[in-house]
Amino acid sequence: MNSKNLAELQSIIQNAIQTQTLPNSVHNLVLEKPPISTLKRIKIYQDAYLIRLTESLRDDFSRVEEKLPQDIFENIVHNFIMTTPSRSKNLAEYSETFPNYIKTNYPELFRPAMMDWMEILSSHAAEPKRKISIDEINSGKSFKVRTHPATIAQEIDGKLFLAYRREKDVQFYVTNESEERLFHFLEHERSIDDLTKIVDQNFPETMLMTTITKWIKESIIFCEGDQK
Amino acid sequence: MSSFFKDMGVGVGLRPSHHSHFLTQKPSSVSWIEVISENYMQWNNKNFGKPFQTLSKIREDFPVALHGVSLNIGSTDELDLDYLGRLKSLIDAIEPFIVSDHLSWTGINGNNLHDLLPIPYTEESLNLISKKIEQVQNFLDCRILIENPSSYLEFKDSEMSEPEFIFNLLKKTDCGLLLDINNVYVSSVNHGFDPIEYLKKIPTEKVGQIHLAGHSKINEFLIDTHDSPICEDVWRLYRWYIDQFGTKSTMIERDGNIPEWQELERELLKIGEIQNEFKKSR
Repeated sequence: MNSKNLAELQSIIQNAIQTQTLPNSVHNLVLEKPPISTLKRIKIYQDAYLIRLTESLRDDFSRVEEKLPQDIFENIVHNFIMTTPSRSKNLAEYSETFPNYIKTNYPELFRPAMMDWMEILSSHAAEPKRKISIDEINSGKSFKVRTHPATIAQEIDGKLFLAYRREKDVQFYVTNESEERLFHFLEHERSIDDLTKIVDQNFPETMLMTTITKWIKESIIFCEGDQK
Repeated sequence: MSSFFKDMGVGVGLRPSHHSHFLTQKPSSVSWIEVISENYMQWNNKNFGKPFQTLSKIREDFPVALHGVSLNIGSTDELDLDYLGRLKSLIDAIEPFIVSDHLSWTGINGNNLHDLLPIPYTEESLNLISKKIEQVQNFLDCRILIENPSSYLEFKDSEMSEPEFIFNLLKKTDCGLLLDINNVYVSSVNHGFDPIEYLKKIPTEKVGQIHLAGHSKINEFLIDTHDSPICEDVWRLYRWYIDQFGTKSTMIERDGNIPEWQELERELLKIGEIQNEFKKSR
């Protein structure tokens, strides 16, 4: 067998698994060993492919599943798998493509699909390395305010949704207009001086203090100690 | 016969449900852990995540083996340099004592079937895979182990048996073998060969690690599901192997129906008992 033939063999097997069909060409490749037929041998791989991807999507998109009768959910997932072959190195990355598929084909399910994906991203994000406490701030340590790495922002239905991690659980928060502007401002690291400067720019001082305090408590944002 | 690889004792495939036990209890029943590399690598264009931070903490107390499932070494596709780059970053950060993946392919033309598919055992496959192993080892700057697969079909075009292929591969490259005894058993039942004859053909000095696991019987097949305790036949094969060739770093993989740590620990202690019996008999 030359490498072209090996490529052909792999192409035929991959095609049989992805399309869930058994072309005659497969029979020419697989050693027939009774009593188990070639059909049954290939079916092990075909079934494993569908089951593995379906279970992974079911685990990752529970909000979508909850909105639908089971057979409809499985139908949608099946169609997604059949039309969107995975090119990802792990199953979590494969899930990343699901919300956009939903947006295109089932727009009414986009919100739960995107919230599920935001939850995955938020759960997976690292803890910040130089997070400092209120006590350290009170003792005069200099710091910047930053969005927490586990805070995932996404516009859904014209509103900014925040997924954030509070202890082990992921929570959601829908911002109002001024909170949305504040969040975008805080997407870049900000010093106390920077915050002071925006008090007069459409952010009343009380709103700014209340929101920032609340967001620090909720771990939507955090105080990062200066490296110096 | 002396081995290229140090015997690290008893290990376990660490899964997230046991993370907190390892962080708080640091169990003495295992001396090392193995993790699935892809679960700790950086995702597309992102930094290392929380799983990596957890692994880093556990790494302070346990040597780590990195075990991959997406190297795709048997595919006719070129090696995926982005994937290798992410694996290299993980290796640099975790400093594992072993890096391994499978003698299989997972997809072509950039696709990933998320399964470990069998290859035809031909000269062409041998040349392709040995060349790719050399490229991987150069890229990662370390020797890797390749794991023998479990499989449910064989190809008409195969020119040699699986153990002959592995023997030739180990002769042609300087990688080692991750000997999965459950895989040998599963394939022996599915294809009708003698697992002892298979094991006799494996150059033991190239075996860097042993995997043990459970499987399921579905219709006529044994399926490598890792979702049940190790069966008596696999324990017998393992005992035979240790009696013949001596102890090796050995661990248990459990990926489904993951039990409480104490239950898994009972199986791990059995590995230690078998290894101690062998040591006392010498």
